[in-house]
Amino acid sequence: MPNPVISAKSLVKKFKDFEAVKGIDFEVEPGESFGLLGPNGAGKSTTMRMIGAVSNRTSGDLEILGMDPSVDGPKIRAQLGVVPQADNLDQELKVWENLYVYGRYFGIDKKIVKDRLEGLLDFAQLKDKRNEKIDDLSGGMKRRLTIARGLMNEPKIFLLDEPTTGLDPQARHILWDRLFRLREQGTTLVLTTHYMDEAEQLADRLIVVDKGQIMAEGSPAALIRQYSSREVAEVRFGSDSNRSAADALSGVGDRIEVLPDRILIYANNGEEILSEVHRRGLVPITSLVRRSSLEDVFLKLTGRSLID
Amino acid sequence: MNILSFGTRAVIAHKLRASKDYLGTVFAETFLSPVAYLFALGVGLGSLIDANGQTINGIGYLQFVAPALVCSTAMLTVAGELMWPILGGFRWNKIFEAMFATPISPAEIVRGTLFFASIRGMAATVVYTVVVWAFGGWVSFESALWCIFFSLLLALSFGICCLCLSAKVEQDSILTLFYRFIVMPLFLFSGTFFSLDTLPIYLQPIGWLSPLWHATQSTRALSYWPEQAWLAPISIIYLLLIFTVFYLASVRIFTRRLTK
Repeated sequence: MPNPVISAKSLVKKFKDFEAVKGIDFEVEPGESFGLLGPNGAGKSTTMRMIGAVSNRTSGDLEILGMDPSVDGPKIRAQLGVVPQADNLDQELKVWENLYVYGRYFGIDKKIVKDRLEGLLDFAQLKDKRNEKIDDLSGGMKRRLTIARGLMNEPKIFLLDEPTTGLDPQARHILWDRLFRLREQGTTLVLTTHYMDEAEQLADRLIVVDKGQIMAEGSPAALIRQYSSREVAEVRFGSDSNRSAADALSGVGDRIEVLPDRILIYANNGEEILSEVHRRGLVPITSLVRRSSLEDVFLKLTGRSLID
Repeated sequence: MNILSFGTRAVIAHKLRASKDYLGTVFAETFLSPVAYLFALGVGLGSLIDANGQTINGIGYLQFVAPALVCSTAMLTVAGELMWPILGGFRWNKIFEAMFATPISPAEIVRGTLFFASIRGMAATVVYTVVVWAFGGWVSFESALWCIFFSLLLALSFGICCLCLSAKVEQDSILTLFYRFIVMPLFLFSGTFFSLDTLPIYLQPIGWLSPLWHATQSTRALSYWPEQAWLAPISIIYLLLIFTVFYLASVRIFTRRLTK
């Protein structure tokens, strides 16, 4: 097996009295697409900043491309591409200049930078926006430009912190498509997200993080298999009646979760569950059957839904 | 340490590129403001003073005030570039975070930003010097050169103080206070428009501590009052000392803030 490009052992990060990352272990293989899934405040971004060799760990071991980030920060950063959670493009520069200036920080020759940025403008579907100001771009375009910027140095590892948060569905899909292409080209991707569908789309393997700890690890499909049933029946009886309806449904399916707005019944066959609900004389206001998702895995592992 | 390392030059190039859009405004300001000041002070107020037969240590008012106006332009220009834009670089547009995701170091970011501001300060200084020459404010060519030299020292040393403070604070209200109660008083009470010894003795130490006073007074001493030329080496050492202390502090603060 090839050496992992990222290896973390008992990784800890403390801010004064607050322990944001509480001793986590994981490895990322070259060419892999690795996800960190968890709610806001789980320690994902803090972990990403340590991997990005910009934030020093409090304790534990961390190796990026065989180097220690607290010793070889600049050498590691030279081989990373970074897309931070909040866009930090330079508003005073045009679209193409943002790529140009950034490429120069890596010591890349002016001519190579100019050639490379043309290809990346194309990749980010921003060719006709090359002379626009950043303020004139939509949220999705800014995000794509930030991604293109992160690729200027042809990184060995590409770090994306919540790449699609705040984007509309269409913009998200365009972005996923671009990231999917990178995956196909063999770029190692590390991404954080609190969207289950994003993790399912983009990650080969992921860790579920909550309160600075790893709750589970595996491929999205394996995690769903391990922690959830095949299907879920969702029924709503109105916020006042959900609790009493759940009592009447005890014993139905493998497991029942009562959320403030709905009841989730986990089972192999969701349609059968709905029939059983009706047989028990209960009439939900709305009902649906869906496949289990990482959201259900998270709910099972933490007792909370991902976006509270 | 390579003072002008690749990373430092990349930061300077980036900042120059980002400022090219407001170059027109900057140029108008660096040209029009000295013309207005010189006309009001040198020609207007100066002729009143000179008409009374008064001189300052044997020097006409225009010659007296010229080095102070040039040096204070350097000071105010770097302050403008190294206060709000620094805090903003951490808090608002996060431009430093973007720079630090690349191989360059916090020290290179500090130097690049400081040198860029100093280049701007020096551009304004040179324009001002030429305008002063047109008004007949220099007694000699050397005098103008000394003024540019001390303006550069002032830009670097005062600039790094502004950068250091702005990298440390979290709120821009502190910068507003600093500008109103430190920068402006320094501009007004550093022997700029009147000789320091006209102030009560207990206020004069403010002038001696002021980087602006050192730059201005050393230029005057070297140009007009050779018996006071001993001040120049002291001022040079003083300004370099300020620069060194605040440079080291700034690198520390930048490193801490970026690696949090």
